[in-house]
Order: sequence, then structure tokens, then C-alpha cells
Amino acid sequence: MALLAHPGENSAAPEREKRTLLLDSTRRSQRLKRRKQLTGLLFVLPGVIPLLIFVIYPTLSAFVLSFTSWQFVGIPTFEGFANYTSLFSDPQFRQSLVVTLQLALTTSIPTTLLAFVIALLLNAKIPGTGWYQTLFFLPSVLPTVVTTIVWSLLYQGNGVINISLNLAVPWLTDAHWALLSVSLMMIWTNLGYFVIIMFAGVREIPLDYSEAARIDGASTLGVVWHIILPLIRPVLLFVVVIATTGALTLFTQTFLLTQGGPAGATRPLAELIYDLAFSYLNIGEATAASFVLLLLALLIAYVQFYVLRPKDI
Amino acid sequence: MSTISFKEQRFSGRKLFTALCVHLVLIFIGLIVAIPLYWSVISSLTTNDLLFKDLSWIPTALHFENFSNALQGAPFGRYFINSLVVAVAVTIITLLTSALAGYGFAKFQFPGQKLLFGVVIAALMIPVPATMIPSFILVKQLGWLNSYAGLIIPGAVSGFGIFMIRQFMLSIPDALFEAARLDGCNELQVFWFIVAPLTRASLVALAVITFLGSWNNFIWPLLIVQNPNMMTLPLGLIQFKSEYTVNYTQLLAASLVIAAPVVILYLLMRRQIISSFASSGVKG
Repeated sequence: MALLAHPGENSAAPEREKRTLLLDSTRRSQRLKRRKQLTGLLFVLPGVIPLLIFVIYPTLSAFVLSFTSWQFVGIPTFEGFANYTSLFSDPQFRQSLVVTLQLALTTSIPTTLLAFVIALLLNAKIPGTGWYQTLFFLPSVLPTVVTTIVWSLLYQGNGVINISLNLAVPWLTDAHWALLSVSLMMIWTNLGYFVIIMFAGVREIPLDYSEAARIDGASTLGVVWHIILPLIRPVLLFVVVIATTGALTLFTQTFLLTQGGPAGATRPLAELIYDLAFSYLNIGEATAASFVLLLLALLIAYVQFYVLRPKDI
Repeated sequence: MSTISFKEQRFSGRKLFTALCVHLVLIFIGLIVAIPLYWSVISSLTTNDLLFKDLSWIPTALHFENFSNALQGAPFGRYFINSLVVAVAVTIITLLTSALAGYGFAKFQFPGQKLLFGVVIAALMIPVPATMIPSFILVKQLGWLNSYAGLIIPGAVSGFGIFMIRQFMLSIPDALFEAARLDGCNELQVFWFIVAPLTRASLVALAVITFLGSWNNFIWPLLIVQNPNMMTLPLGLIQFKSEYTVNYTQLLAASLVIAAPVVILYLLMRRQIISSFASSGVKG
């Protein structure tokens, strides 16, 4: 543009040429830019469109259906907040919320503590401890259906646990024991996974810290308490978040082990949603419960992103 | 001299003691993990009337016919093929779409990018049970109940995969792609020859996690499959269980057959699998 400030008879023709050239090149670069934008969009769409169809659309449709009454056939009728009010006054739903929370706590806390101790032991650089991780993680890779079938047999009244420990515990048939049984099985299944996450976290801690503390005369427990625990706090919290999310999505284990029983004592939210939809054909309440579950999941995600992130970055 | 060697000896003695204690604790936990698995193996080889009456930890007679009888009791071959087709297809589609979209989000700027990435993050956070009823309705309306399409396509949708690959690709310098472009590669060639090989480690991790997740998935097949011909192994096993309620040894035998491919895969690739789960921080 600065060239335009020097008009002259002789330079007029080349000037025009230069201008068209300049315009041409900006146009070309713009076209290139647009092409690159289009390329990016084309790369992204095969991944994003299915998400819109099979995750976002069902979520929105759950929201809409939660305000209607429907039994899988006919046309849904608008009901306002009726499903939500009847849901929150339904003792089954409240029980299910409590069960979900109980399972989250009774699995996450023991698993986290146990996994932390195991991770420390694995990190002690003792020869021959490599293969333990392989063994501990094995239950996590097995099909859930298989581990649950095995445990359902172990828990039988005349099953191995009662016989070999000389007990007569009603593992699956008593409400209080059943919840504990589900937790124990979950701990057994998920321990290895938690160990892996925790071990990866413990290994990140620079050795110099604990060695320096050791030289200063700290005991092993002192090193764990004052050095390792504060440094691994983000991992601990992360593991608790995973366990809570796990309780929200828990379905297969309780569905196969106890069918949510006895009397709903082990029925987490996901299983209640399934029962409401497919046993009671109450789509309205099922989707309302789905939406409550979604809100709980988003709450956990919020905790994960905004409470945990600033500390570990 | 003598004091030093004495000290060293005492030190190594203490170290030995610590090592012994650590091993004892780990062996104890290892036994708790292993005993239910060991029990299921020996019980699959016993007879039903002995299973609960006479608990013997060392089997006296091995009834391998439990396995052949169990496999004849249900079309497990068909279930196996269904599981394999679904898991392989889900893994391939997830890898392709996640790699393409991960690359697109990491290395391109385009209008609406933030919104579309928001969709990925939202999908990542929405748990399966929250959408299972409307997803079932959608698949029913599409006419995909009892079909491979119904088992594969909704199962191959992964916000997690896209997010994971994008995070990894952010760490690859752009210069590598630019060089290939200057050499005359088109965008798909850049993707195939430069991007995919560089991302191989995280693609393998995603493949392992996706395959295991699909192979072990129970809830989605339970929702959309009633036809025995379209059942996958976990669903078929539960079907078998409901038909042969008291035949526990055969049930265990069938369970072990279903677990076998996963165990073999796990033992062959244990390092890879463990580091995949350690790095991803998410289990299916």
C-alpha cells in the first residue's frame, strides 16, 4: 500500500501489476488458509459426528424424555416435573442414591489405602517384586462377567469362603452383608488397577527427597508421612475420583451378583435406571434418574478439573 | 577395617530382612488375589457333587469333559466369532477416527473448533448409564437391534480416544509435518506416513484398552441383543448360566474358556497393557 503513495506516469503500469500480484497472493494465501481449515474440519468430523449422534443426542433426548410419560410405545406425553417429584419421593430411588454413595466410599477408601501401601512396597527397589504387579492386575483385565460368576460361587452359603474359614455368613442373602460382599469383590477386582496408577505416581517422586530426609534422620514412616504422602496427594485424589465415577457406572457386578437385592440393598443408580426402564417400562422416571446420574458425574468431573488440576500443574 | 565390614554385614542383613518382609506381605496379598482364580480352575475340573461337599485344594481327578460338555451346551463358537468381529471392528474404527480427529484438533485451526472440542470433552464426561435408555431407543429406531451395526457403531464412539490422541499429538513438533508437505505429500499422506507412525505408542495403548473394553463389555449387548445368534461371549455366558443353573463346574469351565483369550493377550503383552492403563488413567 505504501507504493501507492508515489504516483507517477511511468510507474503506473508496473504498479498496477504489482497490486494485482499482491492481491493475487493474499487471495491465494487466503484460499490456502481456507483449504487448511477445511482439511482440519474434515479430519475431525468422522470422530465428532458419531459423538453427536450417539452421545450428545441421547443425552439431550434423555433430558426431554425426563419431562414426559412414556412406555416405549405411542407418543410421549408432557408431564412437567412429575417424574422428578415422584422420583425423589420414591424410597427405592433414595435407597439407590445411598447405595451408590456407600459403594463409592467402601470401595474407594480401602482400595486406595491398600494400593498406596503396595505401591510403596513395590517402589522399595527389592529384587524379585516385578511380577506381583502382573498378578495384581490380572483380575482387572478379566471379563467382569467371569469374575462376578466366580465370586457368586465363592459367596454361596455352602461356598468356599464359608467352608474354609468355618463361617456361616449369609454373604448375598442378607442386606448388610450383601453390600459388603459387593465391596469386597470390587476391591479384589480393582486393586491391581489402583496399584498401577499409584505405583506410577510414587515412581515420579524424586529419590533425592526421601534420601535427603533419611540422611537427616527421618524414619521410614516419617518419610512416607512427610515426603511421599504430600507429593502423591494429587494421585490419591485422582484415584478417589475414579472410584466414585466407577460407583456411578457400576452395573454388571451387582446385576449379576445380587440382582440389586436383597430388597434393593445393593442396587446402584445405573441398575435402578435399567430396572425402571425395562422392568417397569417407566421411561420418564428412568430418564429422570439418568439425568440425576449425569449431574452427579458432572459434579465429579468439575471436582477433577477445577479442584485437582491447579495443584498438580 | 573390621568395623566397616561388620557394619556392612549388619546393613545387608537388615536389608535382607526388609526384603523378606516386603515379599511376605506381597505374597500374602498375591495369595488373596490368586486363590479365587486358582479355585475356579480346579473347580472347573471337578464334579458338581464334589464342588461344595469336599473342598480339596489339590485336585485328585481331572474331569476335562466339563470343558467339552460346557462348550456343547451353548453355541460358544458363534459367540466367540461375534465377540471377535465386534471387538476388532470397534478397535479399528476407534483407532482411525480417534487418530484423524486427534490430529485435526491438535494441528489445525478452523472455525467452530472450540465448540467441536467441547463436544469431545462432554462425551468424555457423560457416563454410559446416563445415556443407555435413549441410546437403546435410537438403535431400535435405526433397526439395529440384534445386529453387528448396533453392537459395533455405538461402541466405536469414543471421546476418550480422541482426547488421548490429541494430547499426545500436541507434543509432536509441527516442523515434521511441514517438511513432508513441502516434499509434496498431500494431507492424507502426511497423516498416514508421518502422523500415524509417530503416534504409534499411544495408538497401541488405545487399541489395547479399546479391545479389552469391547471384549469384556456386558451392558450394551445386554440392552440390544436378544437373538442368540448375535450374542457376544459375556452375554452368551449369562444365557448359559440361566439355562444350566446348577451345573456350576460347567459354568466355571465356560467362564475360563471366555477368559482365556484375554489372559493369553495379557500375559503376552503385560508390560504394554500395564503401561497403557497407567498412562491413560482411565479404565473402560
